[in-house]
Amino acid sequence: MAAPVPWACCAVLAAAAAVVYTQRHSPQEAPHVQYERLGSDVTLPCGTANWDAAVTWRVNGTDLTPDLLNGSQLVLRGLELGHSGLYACFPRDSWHLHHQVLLHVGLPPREPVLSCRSNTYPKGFYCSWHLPTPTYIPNIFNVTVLHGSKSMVCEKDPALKNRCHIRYMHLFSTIKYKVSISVSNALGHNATAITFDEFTIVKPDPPENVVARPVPSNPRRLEVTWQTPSTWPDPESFPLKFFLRYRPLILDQWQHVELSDGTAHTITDAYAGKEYIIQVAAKDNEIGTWSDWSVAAHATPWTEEPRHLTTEAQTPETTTSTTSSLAPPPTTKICDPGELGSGGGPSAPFVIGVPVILALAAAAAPASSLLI
Amino acid sequence: PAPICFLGLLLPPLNPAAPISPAEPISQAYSLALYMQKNTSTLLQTYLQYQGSPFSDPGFSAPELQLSSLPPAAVSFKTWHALEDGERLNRAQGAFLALTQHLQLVGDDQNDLNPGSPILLAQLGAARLRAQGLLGNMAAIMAALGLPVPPEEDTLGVVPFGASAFERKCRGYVVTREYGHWTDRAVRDLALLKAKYPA
Repeated sequence: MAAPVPWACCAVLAAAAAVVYTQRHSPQEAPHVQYERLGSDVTLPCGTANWDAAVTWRVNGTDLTPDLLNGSQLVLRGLELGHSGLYACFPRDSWHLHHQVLLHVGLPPREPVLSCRSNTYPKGFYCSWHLPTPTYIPNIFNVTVLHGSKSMVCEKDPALKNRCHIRYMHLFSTIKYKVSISVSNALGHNATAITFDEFTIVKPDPPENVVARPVPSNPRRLEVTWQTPSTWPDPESFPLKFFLRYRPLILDQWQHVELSDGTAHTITDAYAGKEYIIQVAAKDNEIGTWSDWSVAAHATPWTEEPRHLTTEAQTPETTTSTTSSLAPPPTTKICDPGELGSGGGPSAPFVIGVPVILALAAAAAPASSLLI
Repeated sequence: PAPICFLGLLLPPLNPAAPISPAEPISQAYSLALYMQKNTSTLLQTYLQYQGSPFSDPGFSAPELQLSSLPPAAVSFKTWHALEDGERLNRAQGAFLALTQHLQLVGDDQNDLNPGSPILLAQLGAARLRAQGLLGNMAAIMAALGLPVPPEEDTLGVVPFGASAFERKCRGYVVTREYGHWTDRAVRDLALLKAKYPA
């Protein structure tokens, strides 16, 4: 019994040494990279092994069940994204790596979405693209720009990888631009193109630094100022016009004002004491479309400071005072119109509140729901 | 009635020594150019409709077609931006002078080719009157700036009488198209001058 143990021990040591030797001396071949289409079936051969050799397949280090095998080949049906990974096959009962496949499951590209816009007219424009659905594998895009028959350079954006920039050559040109994009990956190819006149794609960036301030001693005014977008290269030669919209936070309906010049405007019909939200958009005076709305400015019109109540200054209740307190009537009775003109008395405070609210409602024609 | 209003803007010759603010004539010219701009695409579309195929085909466009007697409106941005006031107005004047003369020719051609089309003939006539009005306004701007007004010259030169119907239709297309582009350019030129010489 002492004899077999040392022999087994030697055998194990020898086997271990052999494995170490083969692993060090047989070159690790780089895995074969393979792209397959989502939903399809694929059969992975185990390198050059015989079709009926006994092998073990592993994916990312985990053994795969033998029922997926057809001889020495791995069969995967109905590929899903989760099937992507590093597949390796080994002769059974061996650590010797026979073959590796790096499988990527993906899709051929659908038609790309391409759009161009000029926020720096007339200096140039940029084009952006994206795929409507992901391919899950790497894609290569190629953009070409033609002005009539002349080819133009589209410079890659330093920050965004799906955008490039073209510098304009001509103003008032009749010749259209044609921008084409092709996209390809290991599973397929697609392309699209758009044609346009230089002036149709003009859309400035929104105005900057929109500030709204109350106007002292004016409870219905708000002063709004803004700046032309910094990306617009030449506001002197290519002036912008502006569109202002505002509403109190509590209402849904916007008021609109179109302004042909200047970067300031005073709102004169604000509801007293209500917080407003204000936005501005810009457009070239002659061509193109309106910008997106600017970042919103908030402001509340100036309101009079509430008078501090002191014992000497308290004025007696009269029917004409609008700041009198609302004392409840001593008896709950139906408000008789005949009583309104009587003046004084305990029912008077109840009537006084009404004219104030009516004045507000009359001034704000569309919004009769302002009875708060 | 509208074109006649603008004819009233043709100002009498002014004493070049008297300094006048150019802001007023610039503003008037700008307003006229804006008004003209609203009708230019209608003019082109109406013209094309009346010429039959291929001009009346949808999406018809032949940007490479040019007339050597009409200066093209397309210009490089750098050049356009660097123009001096005098040069800027000179170029616009030259173009609109050529356009008035060419519009006369096109009107005559269309009278011959499409005799029963009062709408087209009226639009061509109105465009010519407006271009003349704009010339007058630009002369006033130049006088106010103390610049010499260029003399009226014959831009058409020798017109071949034997031009075929197709050649005449092509000619009219280029003229109505360039009228639109020069109007767009005039709006920009005058807006630039308006900013430079504020009221």
